[in-house]
Amino acid sequence: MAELHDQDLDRLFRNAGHHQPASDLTARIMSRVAVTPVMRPTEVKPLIGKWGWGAILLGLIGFVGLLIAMAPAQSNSTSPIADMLRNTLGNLTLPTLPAGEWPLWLAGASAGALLFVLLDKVLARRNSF
Amino acid sequence: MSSLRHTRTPVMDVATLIPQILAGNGNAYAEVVQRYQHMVYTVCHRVLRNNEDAEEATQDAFVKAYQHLGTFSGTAKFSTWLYSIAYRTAISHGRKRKHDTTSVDELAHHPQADHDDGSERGELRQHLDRALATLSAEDASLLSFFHLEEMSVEEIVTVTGLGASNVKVKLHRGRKKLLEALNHELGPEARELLLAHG
Repeated sequence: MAELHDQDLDRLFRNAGHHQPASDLTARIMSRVAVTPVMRPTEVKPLIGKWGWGAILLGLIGFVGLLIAMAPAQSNSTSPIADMLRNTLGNLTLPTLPAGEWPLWLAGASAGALLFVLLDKVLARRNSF
Repeated sequence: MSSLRHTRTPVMDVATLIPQILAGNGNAYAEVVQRYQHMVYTVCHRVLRNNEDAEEATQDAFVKAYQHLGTFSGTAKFSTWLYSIAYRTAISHGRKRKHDTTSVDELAHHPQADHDDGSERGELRQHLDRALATLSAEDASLLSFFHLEEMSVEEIVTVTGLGASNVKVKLHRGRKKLLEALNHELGPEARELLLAHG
C-alpha cells in the first residue's frame, strides 16, 4: 500500500493549496476598513534642536565672556582666559544710561532676560505648528 | 484545477501601494486584500478550523493591518508582517473561543470544509485538514507556513515569536505526526488521492 513520506509533504501542501474564503470577504473587509482610521506613528521631536542648543551655548559663552570683560580688572589676575577676554572684549562699551554707567548686574540681567525672551519666542513658534 | 488558483495578474508592488493607502486611496488597500486574503484566511483556518471564525479573524487581521500600516517599516517582507498579524489574531480568537464554547475539541478534530469543498482540490485539502487536526493548531500552522508558504525558519520565528530551535523541533515532530496521521488514519483511497496529485 502506498505510504506518504517526508518529501511528499511539500507537494501535498502545494496541491491542496489555500483555503477558499467566501466570495464577499473582500467587500466585508473593505466596509470595515472604510470606517477605520489609520494610526499615524507619533514622531517625537525635541523642542530645541541641534542648532537651537548651539545658539544657546554660544549665547552663554558670549554672556560669560561679557561678564568677565566688564568686571573691574584686578592687578593679581592669573587666569589667561580672563586676560584674553578682557583684552579682546575690553574695548566693548554699552551706551550710557541717563542714570549713568551700566552696572554689571543690570547688564547681566538684561542679557539673560533677552535670551529667555528669544527662547520663549522660538518654542512658541514651534508649538504652533 | 488551475481555475481554482487565485489569479495573480501582474500588479503593483506592495511597496508602491502602501504610500497610496496612507494617502487615503481605498482601492489600493482593496488590491492588497484581494492579493493576500487567501493566504491570511488559510492561516486563520489552520488555527481555528472553522469557516466562520476564520473569516472573522481574517477581517480583524486586515483591519488591524490597515490601522497599523503606518508603522510598517519595510525591514521585513510585507507578507511576513501580515502573517504575523493574522497568526496572532487567530490565536487570540482561538483563546476567546475556548472560553466561549464547550465544543472546541469536537471542532478541532472535525475541521470544517471551506467554500471550495466540491472540487477535487477541495477534497484533497479536506483530507489534509483532517490529518492536520490531529496536531495542535500551532504545529499545524507551522507546517503550513513551512510547506505551503515556503517560509524559512527565520521567517516563521518572526511570524510566531517562537525561538528558532523551538520552531525546528515543532516542525520535526509535527511532520512525523502528520505523516503518521496521513498513513494510518486516512483510508487507502484518500492516500491514493493525495499521492495521485504529484
